[in-house]
Amino acid sequence: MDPAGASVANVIGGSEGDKFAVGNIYSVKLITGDEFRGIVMADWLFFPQEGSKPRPGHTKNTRMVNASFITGLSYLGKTEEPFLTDSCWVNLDGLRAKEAVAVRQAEADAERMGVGVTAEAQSIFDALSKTLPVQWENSDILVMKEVRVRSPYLSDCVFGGTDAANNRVKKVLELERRRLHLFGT
Amino acid sequence: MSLLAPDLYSILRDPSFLRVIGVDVVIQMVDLGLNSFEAGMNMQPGLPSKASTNGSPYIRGGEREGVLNKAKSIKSHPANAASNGEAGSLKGDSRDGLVYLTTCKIGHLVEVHLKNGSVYSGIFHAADVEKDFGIILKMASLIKEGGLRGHKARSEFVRKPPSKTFIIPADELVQVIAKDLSISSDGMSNAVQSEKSGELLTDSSISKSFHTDQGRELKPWIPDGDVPQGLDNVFDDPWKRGRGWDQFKVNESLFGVKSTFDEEIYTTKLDRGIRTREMEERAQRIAREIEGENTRDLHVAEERGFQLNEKFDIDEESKYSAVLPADAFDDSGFDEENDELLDTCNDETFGGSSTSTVQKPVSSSGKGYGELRDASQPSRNNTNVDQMCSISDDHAQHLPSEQRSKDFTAPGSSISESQMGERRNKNNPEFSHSNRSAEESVSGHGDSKEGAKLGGGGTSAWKTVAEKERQVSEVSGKPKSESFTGQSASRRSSESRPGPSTSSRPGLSPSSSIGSLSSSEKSTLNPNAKEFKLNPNAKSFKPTAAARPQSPMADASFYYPAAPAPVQQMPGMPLGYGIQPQYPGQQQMIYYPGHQHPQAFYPPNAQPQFPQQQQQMMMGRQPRPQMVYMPPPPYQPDNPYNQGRE
Repeated sequence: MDPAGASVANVIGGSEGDKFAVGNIYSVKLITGDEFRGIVMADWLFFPQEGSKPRPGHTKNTRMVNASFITGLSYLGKTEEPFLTDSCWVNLDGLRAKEAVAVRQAEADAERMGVGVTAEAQSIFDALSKTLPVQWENSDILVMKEVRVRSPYLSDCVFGGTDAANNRVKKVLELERRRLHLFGT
Repeated sequence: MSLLAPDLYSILRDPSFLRVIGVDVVIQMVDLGLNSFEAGMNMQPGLPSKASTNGSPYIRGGEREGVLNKAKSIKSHPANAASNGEAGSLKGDSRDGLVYLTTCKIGHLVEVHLKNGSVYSGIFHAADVEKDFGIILKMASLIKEGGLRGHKARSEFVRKPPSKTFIIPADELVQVIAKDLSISSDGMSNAVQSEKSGELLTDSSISKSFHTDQGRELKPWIPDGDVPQGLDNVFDDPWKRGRGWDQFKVNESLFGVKSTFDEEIYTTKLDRGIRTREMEERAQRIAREIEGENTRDLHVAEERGFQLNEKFDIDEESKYSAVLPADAFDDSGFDEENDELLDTCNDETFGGSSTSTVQKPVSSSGKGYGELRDASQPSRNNTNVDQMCSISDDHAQHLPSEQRSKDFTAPGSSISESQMGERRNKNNPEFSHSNRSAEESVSGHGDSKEGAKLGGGGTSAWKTVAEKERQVSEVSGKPKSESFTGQSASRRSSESRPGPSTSSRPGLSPSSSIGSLSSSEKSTLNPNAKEFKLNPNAKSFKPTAAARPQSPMADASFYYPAAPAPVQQMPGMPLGYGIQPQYPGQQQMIYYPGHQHPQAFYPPNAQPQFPQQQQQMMMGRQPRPQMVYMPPPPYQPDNPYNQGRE
């Protein structure tokens, strides 16, 4: 296996050896089969992706590509657009905060995910969660902490809770299922 | 400074850990190179540890396990990203850009493609910039399972919990995709932006559920067969298309409901008499002119169908809901009209002794004012105009209740008057609230009442007209304004209390206005009445004492309609009020019976009358030979004669 950071396996056309000059446009093909085009923003591994409409604030879709996995490369041209200036400042605190927020969000999302449940189950869970407080309990959906919906999450799999709550969950479940079927999931 | 929380750090350093996970953790935190902070775990063999906390034994062993598909869940601390501190000091390093970009990705949701085709999505946490760019993801979850299974749709997966920390050695790493990465040079903006976007949550984003359907594809409704046809355009333009849709008819046919709707209860009955056609045409023409005018007001322009200037990029918000800045003049359309009117009026007035002089002002004051035309005959111009001038000025100035319009029944155009009154009502009410405080016309006509009479007529046009008149009168001197106002006054048919206010201009007198009125074709004034000529030498009138002082006033047509007909057309107008049958032929002694406070005839803030008139016309202030009849001012509630009006 190539040592990490090996230079590009093969270079087709244009440019040069190991390093990619900033600003060059390449069409890259990867070992995974991905193909894309991008402008080299930074040293050899960094490829921004063209084509997507840049949002305000200079956001781009970037890719960091391991050069060792590039199977094909063709030089398309060059742009003069300066991506990075000399004095690039990074606000680490901001980044940390950003990361913290993202992590928290991800954790919250993780809570919603059932472990080892089918996607259908998950979508039912999500649908229920729109109007009812639900949580996972193993592979059961626990609604309002008292009504339990077991696999396969049909109307007759609803147990527990008061009559009113039970009926309510049943009804919501039915309708959600219907809706999911109607529109596909 | 430790880059990792001690726990993780030590864990990762711990050989036992390594054995457990069975891999070499090859990660080296992003090392920004020069400075004080350490690079975290220094795994590089032989590389002096930059970790300030310790000489970390490098963990990386010789072997590297290629595959690292799953990481044990390690309780992760919100460890600081590898790159601490400002990166600004980096210079001259060819890796700078790379490092910078990598740093930017911290906290960003990225997609990582592995060699085996698996795709992971997680939060970028750290990367080994020094070495080979292995990365650490947090909360990474498998999106696509590579390898043997091939490409599976996401929904078919049995979900697995995301890994809290996911380490990817560089060998596995094919690419890291960060979408919408903010890479502006200013690091501050990066963080700030993300914070900002976090605060400004739109409703849709709040209520959006990440995992459920975002909605269904909307399709336009296509009517099935049994929908009645021909309903598409029913409501488009009911007026023009001759009432394609008559709700009453439909109601009656469908439900047998008989309607008692009578349009005339709610609006003025249009008098479709002999001259209707001309009037209508005139009105149409005027309407067209108005509609064709340019306007600065966006809404008006839109209604009129003017194309908005494309380059202005006005979005819906600013078009329909934004608040205009305070300095924008209220009736923005004004100024345009103002100038136009001025010019047109002037032209009309003086360009030719055309009969239809006052077209423009009339029209501007509202459609359907067709009545008024050639209010002022050329012959009458001078005196009439003068009077009219003041009148209209005042009219324009103060347009209190529209009832006033009914006050004086100018004989002439009783129709016009009533119509005008109503039309005035229909038109901008703003006028009625215009300045009542007799800010006497610029020209000094103190006849605020006249303004009052204008009543509801208050369209911007009127005001414009008034302004124009004022300007005109100021600028060009009497004749112009006179004629102009004369016309307008006649239009207004009366109202203007010729009285003192008109005294400002010599020759201005009610009778003259009356005369002009009478000269109007439409006017029902006594055509035979002579023109009123103000006699400067006349003594002032003393209401109580003088009955009919011998005044050298020439016989003139009264400003106030003489006895004949028109009177009855003015509802609420007490007969004795202004119409004293004995007037014609007599002195122009129109005095307001029971007028106790001559002062009251003038608006409280009345500007001083024209000097010459002041002495003579001021009622009660000085003896006056002639007394002009003045309708009770609107602000004289105690006036018994007012009651009918108010």
